[in-house]
Amino acid sequence: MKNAKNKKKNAGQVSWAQTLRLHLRAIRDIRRICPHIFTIYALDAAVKAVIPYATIWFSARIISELTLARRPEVLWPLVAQTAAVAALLGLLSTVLSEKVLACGRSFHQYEQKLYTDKMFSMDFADADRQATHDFLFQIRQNANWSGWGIHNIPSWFRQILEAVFGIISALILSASLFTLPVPASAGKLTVLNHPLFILLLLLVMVLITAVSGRCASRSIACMSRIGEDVKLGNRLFSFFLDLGMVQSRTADVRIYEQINVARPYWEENNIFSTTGPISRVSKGPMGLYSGLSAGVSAIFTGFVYVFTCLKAWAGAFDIGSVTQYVGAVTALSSNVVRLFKAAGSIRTNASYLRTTYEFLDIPNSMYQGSLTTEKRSDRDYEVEFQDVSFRYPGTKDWALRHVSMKFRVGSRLAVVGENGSGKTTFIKLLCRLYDPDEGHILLNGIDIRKYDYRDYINLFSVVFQDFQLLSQPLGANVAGRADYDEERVMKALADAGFKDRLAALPKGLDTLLYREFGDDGVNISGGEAQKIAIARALYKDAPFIILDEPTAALDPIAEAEIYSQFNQIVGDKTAVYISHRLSSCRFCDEILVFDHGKIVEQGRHDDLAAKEGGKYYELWHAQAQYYD
Amino acid sequence: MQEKERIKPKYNILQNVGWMCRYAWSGHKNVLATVFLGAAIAVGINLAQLYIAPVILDKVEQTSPLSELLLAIVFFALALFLLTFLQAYLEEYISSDRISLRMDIISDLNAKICGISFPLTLDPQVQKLRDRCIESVCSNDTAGEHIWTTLSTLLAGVTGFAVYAALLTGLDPVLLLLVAATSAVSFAAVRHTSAWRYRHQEEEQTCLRQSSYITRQACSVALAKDIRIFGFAPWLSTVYDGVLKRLDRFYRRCQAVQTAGGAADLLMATARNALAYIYLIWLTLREGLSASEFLLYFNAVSGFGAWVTEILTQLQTLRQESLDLNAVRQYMEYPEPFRFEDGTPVPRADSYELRLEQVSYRYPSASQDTLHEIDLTVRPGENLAIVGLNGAGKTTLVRLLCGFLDPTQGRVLLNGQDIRQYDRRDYYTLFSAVFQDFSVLDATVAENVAQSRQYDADRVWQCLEQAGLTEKIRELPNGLDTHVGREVWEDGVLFSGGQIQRLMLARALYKDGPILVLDEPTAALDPIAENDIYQKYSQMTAGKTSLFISHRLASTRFCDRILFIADGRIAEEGTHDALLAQGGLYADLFHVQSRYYQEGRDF
Repeated sequence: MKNAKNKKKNAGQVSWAQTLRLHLRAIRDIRRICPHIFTIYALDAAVKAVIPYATIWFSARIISELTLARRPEVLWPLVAQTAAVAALLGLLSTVLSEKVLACGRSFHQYEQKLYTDKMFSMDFADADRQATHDFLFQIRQNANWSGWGIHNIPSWFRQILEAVFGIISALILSASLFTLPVPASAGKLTVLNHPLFILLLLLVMVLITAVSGRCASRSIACMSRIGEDVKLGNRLFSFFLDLGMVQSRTADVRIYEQINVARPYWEENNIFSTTGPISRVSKGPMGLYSGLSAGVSAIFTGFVYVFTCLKAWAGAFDIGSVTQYVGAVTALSSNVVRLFKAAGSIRTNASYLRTTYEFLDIPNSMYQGSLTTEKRSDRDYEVEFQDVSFRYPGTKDWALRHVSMKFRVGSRLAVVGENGSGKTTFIKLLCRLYDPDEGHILLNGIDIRKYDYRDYINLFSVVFQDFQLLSQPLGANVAGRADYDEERVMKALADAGFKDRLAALPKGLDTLLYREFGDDGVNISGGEAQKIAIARALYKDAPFIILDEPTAALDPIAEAEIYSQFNQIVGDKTAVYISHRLSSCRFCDEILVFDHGKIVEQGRHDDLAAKEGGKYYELWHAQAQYYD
Repeated sequence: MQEKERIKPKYNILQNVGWMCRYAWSGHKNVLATVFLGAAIAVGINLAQLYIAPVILDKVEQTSPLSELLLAIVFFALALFLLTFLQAYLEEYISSDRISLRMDIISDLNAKICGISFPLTLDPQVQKLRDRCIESVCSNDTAGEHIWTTLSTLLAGVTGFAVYAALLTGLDPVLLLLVAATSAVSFAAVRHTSAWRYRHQEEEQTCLRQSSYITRQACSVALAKDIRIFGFAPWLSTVYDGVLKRLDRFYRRCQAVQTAGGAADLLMATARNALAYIYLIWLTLREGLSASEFLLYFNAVSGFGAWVTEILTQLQTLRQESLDLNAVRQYMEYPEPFRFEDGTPVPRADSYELRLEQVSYRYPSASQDTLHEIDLTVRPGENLAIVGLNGAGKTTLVRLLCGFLDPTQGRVLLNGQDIRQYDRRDYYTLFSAVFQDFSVLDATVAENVAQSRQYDADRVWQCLEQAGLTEKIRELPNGLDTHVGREVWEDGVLFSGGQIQRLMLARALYKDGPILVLDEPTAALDPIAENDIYQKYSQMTAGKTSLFISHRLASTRFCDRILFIADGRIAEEGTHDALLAQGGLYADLFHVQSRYYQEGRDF
């Protein structure tokens, strides 16, 4: 709530110059993703602006002729021209409207890609931060709620152009309303010729426009005042719906009748209920303001009629012209309203757009090193942690504290410890998903921050505990790209123990995993997924291969297979295992024992397991006792 | 999509409108009233706009007294002001009621979704129907809410049509017929396009689903690690580009179809106007109508055509919305293979014996049975372990025992009675379970443990203690009242995999059902934590029947009996020692796992 207030204060501070700068930048970005959108929108605006005036002009000509001379030789060609022009402009407008529609729909999709690309390319530390996700959530919510951010910029652009074209046409069509004088024969009414009346009419127009605009923005403001309630309500609603839609929830939902917890949560915060906040504002101030905003234009129409009809009544022009002037002046007013509305929206949008760019401008601080890691044929790498400490952003407790260790390529390293003791954090630092807060990590004696980021990270293959496969073809999942070397992928899958299952898949490597991307997708079990993830790590063929709980979902036979083959598969690479199944430690040359963020023991299995009272001893015996 | 059109819907338009009206009648009568009021106002505005120019121009043409002229202007301006004010106000006024009504439907629909017989949740056809239902009620412009606008507009159309027809009685009926005909052709064009859209919406939906899948994945922190380690960004970007290109192409095709439809519509409208001009000018020249009369008639003739198109278009929309509502009703009334309210309650007993009698199970569309003729009795109070390799059928066996699936052959008996006769919801109350897939609620810690909004805090703490989560919960700023998850709550706590597993265990303990089902409950725990749970196992299962599913064979030690499942059959059963002595598959498996733990062996 406090934040929301701050934001509002900031929102007031965005100057027009800044607003303009932000929007120009957005326009450049939009043109990059949808090059022709503004041209199409501009053409459409021009045609749309002209059409009503063409109609007004022609019908006024016909009515004028009917009031006066009623010459058939004038009327019939006029009808032909009217029809021809209407058909032509109409066709043009239809073509453009549809183009605008298609373009707009595509644009809204391409806009999403700006954000996903950013999510894919930002530093992991940022991607891991809740604030980043809140940012993106807010941007999407702003766009969905009322098109704030980048979303509506093209249509505001179109509205402004349409308004400008409309105002120009209206001025042309209504100019003679003011210039044609009331003839002297009209007596008192000649007062209408006084230029003050032009001013008066303008004044009324400005007044009405202002009132209408003010009411509209008041009406919108009502909604944003209850924004926080609405946000929570919407989130609870998604949660409520999620309960039935997420497959992994189905069993629990039934055994625990979870709808009984979710439903009251939603009902208590039902923002849409007849007594809820939305109902309160929409039946109260919001509805009234919205009604007034729409209604006042009728008053203006009345004024225009009075002025034009009086002049016509006094003989300044015929009634055909009255229709033209009334049409033109009311259209003028509605275009002025449109112009102000669009300008107002853009002004309001500035602070939202700033949020969008704060997100898109999150800097990449990882990409500063420039050294290449030598592609050593002997793969002789040495990694050293020198007094490394680290805590996750925004937390007080150290996740790692004073960690020092060293290991060479080719060795087998096991990392063990209780949940939360710092094992996974150690891995994240090692492959530079995070940088340490204190101390250094060295590769062949050089601080890893000095290496080119991509180059450094290419040294590692990792199967994380929560690895993810995508709903994409199997082969692409292993290779991480759509065009891959089939034989190598097959080999990696075979090495990971997936050979038999692969043979049973109807489309082989082209088999789609999961159903999200198509109905012909194949659901795979947790164990199978783990094998594919291992294959993916093998395919990358990096000098370091790291396995975080790689066999948690595998049965003993599959686990034994992986273990027995791993030595051979890993070959001269360095393997790091993190596992709760300490049996895997016995393969390893070296074991690191973590406890509360520190390395408390380091050594070989036989030594550590014999050290009574040590952490490893405790861990090992907790498990081994069941296998005596 | 096409097949959807071919199958005759169960309910017709009138029945579906009636169904919606019943929803409105109970609690949202406003919504019904505004259908009529909205139509009346729309016709009123239309008539005011039709008459304003001709009436006022007539006064000018006739050079009537100024007061009369001014009076007419004031009258129309006020009328328009009031009517447009009312229209805009009404739209805001009723919006929340309409949404609220739609929420009632969603609430009922969700109750059905969350309660529908488990096997149906695995059926792709039913899943499709469910997704279609959600799409039909998910937003303001879908059938569940938009139908009120459709009805109101339709009503206005019919009224307007009648009024205009009366107004134009003096004109040549051939003209009206021609106007109606051009309108009908216009409508045919519009209908052609919207039918095309409807037929092809699945294409768009597929792409949109793919697109939202990728945007969702982009927010996954777990995937973020893989993306960086393996350099997936270019691949994902290409995949996304592919989806966007397909969407773009689809929208272009839409554009072509719609442009053609729009052009046909436009030509008809032009023809109609030209026709009206020609006829009315001819009439004016021949019969000496005034210019304002000409204007009135001209606007009325083209307005008449517009009403015809409006009626036809709204009827078409109504038909499609009725189809959507029909889907919603079909899902809500989907026949349940299980008994719920119509079943008998489970007789309460001191102890429960579960028996599988010659049970086989085959998943729909599978070519062979997952389980074959299983005979199994789980005695009251017994601690049973179920072990086996991945894919042996353990999970299916548990699903049968818990009543999630009914056997394709044989029977599942509770104290000798076939469970199919019972209210399945009542049957589920017997089970406390930790499954591999779980559903953490975006509610407080305590509510997640108690699975209820009312809870006994002491018991919640006790269960957390047993599950080994007390320390973590005490650290939280709001203790038991801390919200879980960040999807809903900005201050929610995010638990690690191990902590969630403990929370799920605490939840099962709190429920205190007579039968405890634990499917791999320690997979994410470290050895000490795992050992801790094992130590407490007998305490946790005291006085209960328990089913422990695992492929960590260590865990089976403290069970009374072990079932070793292989290829859908009970391959071996007995105590740990008996099975080891037997020297069969179980013993092999145990040796494979245990040899790494035995001292003095080399690798």
